[in-house]
Amino acid sequence: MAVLPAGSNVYGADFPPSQFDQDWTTILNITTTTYVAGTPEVAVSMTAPSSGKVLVCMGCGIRNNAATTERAIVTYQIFEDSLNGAVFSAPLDDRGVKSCGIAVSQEYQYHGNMDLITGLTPGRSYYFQVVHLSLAGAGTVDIASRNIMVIPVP
Amino acid sequence: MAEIKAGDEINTGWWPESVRVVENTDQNNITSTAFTAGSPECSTTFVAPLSGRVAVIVGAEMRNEDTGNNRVFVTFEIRLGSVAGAVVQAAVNARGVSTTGDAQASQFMTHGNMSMVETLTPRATYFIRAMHHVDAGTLNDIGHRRICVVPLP
Repeated sequence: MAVLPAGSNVYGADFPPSQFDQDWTTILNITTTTYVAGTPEVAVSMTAPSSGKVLVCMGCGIRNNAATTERAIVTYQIFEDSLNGAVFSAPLDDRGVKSCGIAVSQEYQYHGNMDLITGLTPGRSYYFQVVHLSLAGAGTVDIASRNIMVIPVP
Repeated sequence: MAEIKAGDEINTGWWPESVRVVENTDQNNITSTAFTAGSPECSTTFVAPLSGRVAVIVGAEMRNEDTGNNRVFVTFEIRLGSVAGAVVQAAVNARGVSTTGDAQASQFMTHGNMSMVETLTPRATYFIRAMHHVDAGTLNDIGHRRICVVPLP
């Protein structure tokens, strides 16, 4: 093994690869008022770095295709180990995208949101799954795209 | 370059911690057209990495309850050391988020934005807080403010 010169930057082997998933399949006339993953599922697995922190960036295209105040929420939930694991963090609308709810029929609007997830167990695998719902279940909100990126951070 | 000897201090690539702060107290009927921090403030401190660069994330839940094309903007400012320190990154709309500005009353909407702040002094402590203002009107509200700072290479 090579000698490490003074002044070298020493990095722990604690930055696993960033992960990204996306899908542009439209999901139309959404009626569910509880969070569902949709088809196909958009999700990534990530091994937590030693900081126990990751940056999650998600985006989507959503609209209300009616002159009502109906809204859609696209966000994500986090499981320990895998989709079959314990819920580490349930879906939160504040860290996702919630549409505007103006009472006019809208074209698709594309937005993103990012959040710092903390308290992960270093070295443990986590499963980040994009989920969505409609607030009133009116069947008028649509999704054009969904994406999620998870980046290990200090 | 000299070798590292026994007893020498080895610093890792030295990453200061990423930080996050959330404030869920409603800011209702905002009328300020100049940037204001609101009450309570959504603020925290962070330490600049050796690169002097950080990513700043702003997320907010906002609405306009009247039918004017008024917008509410949520962004951030950075000061050196504390709230009393010099401004090193002034609040600008383009680094944050806003409501749509349609001449329609809206419901609460949520989204975020992310941008890089450069030329910070390595190892210095900085104060960051969410700032907001409106175009006009008296019925703009904020339900959630969130700031995250992540050191960058």
